[in-house]
Amino acid sequence: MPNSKDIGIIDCGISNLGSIAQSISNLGHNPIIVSDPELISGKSHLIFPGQGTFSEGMRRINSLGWNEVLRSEVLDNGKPILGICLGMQLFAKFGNEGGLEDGLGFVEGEVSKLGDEGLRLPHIGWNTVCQSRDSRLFVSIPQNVDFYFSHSFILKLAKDSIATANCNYGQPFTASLECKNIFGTQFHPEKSSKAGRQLLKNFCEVEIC
Amino acid sequence: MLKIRLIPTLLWKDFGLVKGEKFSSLRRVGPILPTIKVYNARDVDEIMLCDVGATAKNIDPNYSLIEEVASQCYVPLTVSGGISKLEHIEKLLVAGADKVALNTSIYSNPFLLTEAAERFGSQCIMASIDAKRNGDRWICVSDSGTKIQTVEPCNWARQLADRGAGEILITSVDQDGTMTGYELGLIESICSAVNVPVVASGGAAGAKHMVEVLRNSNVSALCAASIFHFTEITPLDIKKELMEFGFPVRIGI
Repeated sequence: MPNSKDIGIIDCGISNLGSIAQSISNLGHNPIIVSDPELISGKSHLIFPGQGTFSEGMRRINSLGWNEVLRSEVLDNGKPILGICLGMQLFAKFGNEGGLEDGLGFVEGEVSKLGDEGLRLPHIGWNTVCQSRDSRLFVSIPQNVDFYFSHSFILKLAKDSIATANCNYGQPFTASLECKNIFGTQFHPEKSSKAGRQLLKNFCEVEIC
Repeated sequence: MLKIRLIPTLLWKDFGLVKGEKFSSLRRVGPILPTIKVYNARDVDEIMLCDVGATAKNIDPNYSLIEEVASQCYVPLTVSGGISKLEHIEKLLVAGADKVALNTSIYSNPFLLTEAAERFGSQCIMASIDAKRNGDRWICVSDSGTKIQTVEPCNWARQLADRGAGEILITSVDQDGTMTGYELGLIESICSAVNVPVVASGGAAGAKHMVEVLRNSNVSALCAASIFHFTEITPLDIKKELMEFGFPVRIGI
């Protein structure tokens, strides 16, 4: 297919990779699941999906040799990367699951638990995403559309200016971010029906800075 | 605002979809892929797929089936039936499942739930409880409703949530397939017992039963099967009615 791109899906063993690969392939691109950091080059865009805990995610990133490679691809080479759910949270400088620990540090901020006063956790289901500024991810996606969330932790950004959308569950929190070539969504676009498909399509069309 | 999820449940046996009443007298209701395509076109919130024959036959989950279904499914897919090892969960997630529901295996091995939640995250692990009336109380049953368990449903739900279940699916065997309404007392008691999302299942014939359960308890999601197999009512019809009653639902774009 013309304009079909090689989209690298980073596999640290912490995600439902099948769903993401399927969504990318349905868009006419080539999803390439990359389990070995040395094989990352040559992909036009990177998707970093993740579920589970921050500490387990970082442990795997470090022990499998992803930390250096991601740093070089994202910070030095300016390759577009989309972190999904825990994937986005791992971009933060710190995680806090009851003690501070280092994240990848691509964005200034900290990951902490959603407040649970009177609310059921995890926050699972479809919730309204309110776009707070223009983002390349949300092209052709209407304001206040529902996306699918599944998480108990949130990313608190030091600078609100890189947040592109927010959501509310007992408290407002960052639903998506964009900072140069770095993109993230707290929700799961690969499971968010038509709006999610459009978002992934938009990401795959982002030009390399 | 977080929406109330409406989840069609598909029961799989041997080579096609089935639906019964009170967990028995299963009858064939058609092939699976066209059904999944219809649900996708109708933009349902999530799909639940249970292999009702897997535990009794002691066979592994049908990974190729899940792969086929997942390739047509653009909303979250929860898979259950015959899951008794971490390896099953891992392979189901690779095949395209987004969540798994554990039921029979965790009565004899509750550690499986703990390990699964630690390994894959709570959001990925649903604990499923089948309950039956016993006088004015309820008892848990396993093995597709054929085996009585000694633990009481609320107590069990609490234990499972403590062990890391991200959601509790509560199904009333007595109401299943009867289309006479959800087991309100049971569902309310589970909702009060735990702080994780609760998914109600068994007995719905239409929006009025869903309004009943939503008014009576703080459930996060509603399952239904017979409505979609045996009536002309669509998920969108139900959502529109729920919306008229003031409940938040998702209407796709």
